[in-house]
Amino acid sequence: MNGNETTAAVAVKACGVERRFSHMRVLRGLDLELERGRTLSIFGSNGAGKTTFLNILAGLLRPDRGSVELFGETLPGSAELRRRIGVVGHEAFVYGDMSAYENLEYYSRLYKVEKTGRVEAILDEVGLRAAAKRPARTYSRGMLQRLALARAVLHEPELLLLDEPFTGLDPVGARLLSTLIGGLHEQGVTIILTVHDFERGLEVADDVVVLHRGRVGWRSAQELPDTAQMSEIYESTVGA
Amino acid sequence: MFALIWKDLILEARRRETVTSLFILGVLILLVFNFAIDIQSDNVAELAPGLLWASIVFSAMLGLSRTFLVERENGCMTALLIAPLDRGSLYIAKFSVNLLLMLVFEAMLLPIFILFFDLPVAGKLLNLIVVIFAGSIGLSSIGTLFALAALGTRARELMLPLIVLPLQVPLLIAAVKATSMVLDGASLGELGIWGTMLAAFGILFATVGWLTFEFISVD
Repeated sequence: MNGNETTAAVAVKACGVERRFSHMRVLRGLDLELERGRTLSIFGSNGAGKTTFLNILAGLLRPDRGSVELFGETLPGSAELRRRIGVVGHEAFVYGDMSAYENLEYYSRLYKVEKTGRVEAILDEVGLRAAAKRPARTYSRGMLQRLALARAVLHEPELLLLDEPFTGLDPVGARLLSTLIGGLHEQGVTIILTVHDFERGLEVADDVVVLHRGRVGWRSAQELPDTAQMSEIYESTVGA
Repeated sequence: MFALIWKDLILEARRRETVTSLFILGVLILLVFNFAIDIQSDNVAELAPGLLWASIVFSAMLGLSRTFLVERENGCMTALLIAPLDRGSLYIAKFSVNLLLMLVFEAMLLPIFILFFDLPVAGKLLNLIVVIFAGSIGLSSIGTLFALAALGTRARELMLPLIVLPLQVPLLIAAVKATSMVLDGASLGELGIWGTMLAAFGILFATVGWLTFEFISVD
């Protein structure tokens, strides 16, 4: 494999990433590499730096030290690089006074989605077609999370960042979200998600990382552990 | 950029928060001045411009502080910042929406202003509208630029006027002087330095906003 093939095969490459907020060092030299098409679950206690790392990948924060490359391009990247990324955050990023259809129509124009019928297709995919004309403020937490996922994948990103996507979902909603993430994985989308629930995180992942005090404390080998093993690994890594 | 303008206008059309609150505040200020100051036909051209611009600038401050509030809902500001959108375009879109809403508010306020102070505007109305339009470009351009910076602070309603009002002083002086001259019957060509200042202020801050919004919106 030559150098170009290596670059093309790597979706995310973070080297020595440091980030502090006033006096608090949140990321302390984080190194991570992820191949294209893989799904990575990041576990870690509150304050371990999961969301900060995702925000850096999304281009919302700049690292104080170190570098991050996405698809071979160093951050902060171009507008074209931002088009290749989809983000689901703690909030849905939708306007309550607009319907799901209008929200997606707006984002499709923002991302210059030219495919005809893409909004309708994605509404079908996430099961919101019937409620598409209702204002988003009338949606339940589960429906909002599906709308958030629809918004994030509307422009068919190559890298999808999900920050605790299962939080607040009932078991049915969580299962549906797992299925949707699985479908995107099959389409070759590189996915990074932060998650607290080992079962959900392991269910969708190819790789697992435990972040501890701003660094990678543990990374899975080829075989993923089961939930019980993961719990032991987590406890020994974070010292809980 | 047009998607952003379209979205902001749809939300304003549904909520009618900004224009309504600007209008109510603007009318209230005019009403207070109308009762507080004894305006006669011989001093109306001297006093009215100041009263008009005081009403516009305080109401506009209220509207400008709301510029990015709509984006705080469900974290939509984050979605804007990660979108493949040039930050300069984001500024131009927000500036355009602010200017449009301010013009709608002024179109509603101006007849009331003329009525309250019994202003003789026959033959001067078009020039008056041009001066108000030029002043509004300046107010919107500088207000939009700092509305995002103020959004990140705890007391954003207090911070925005504190930052913006001192910077707007030259614009307000030019706007009041130009309005006074227009009400005295001067043509636009006769506005001289005040007309130039009005136009230059808007162009300067719109350009600065477009070029620097990238740095204001990171982190």
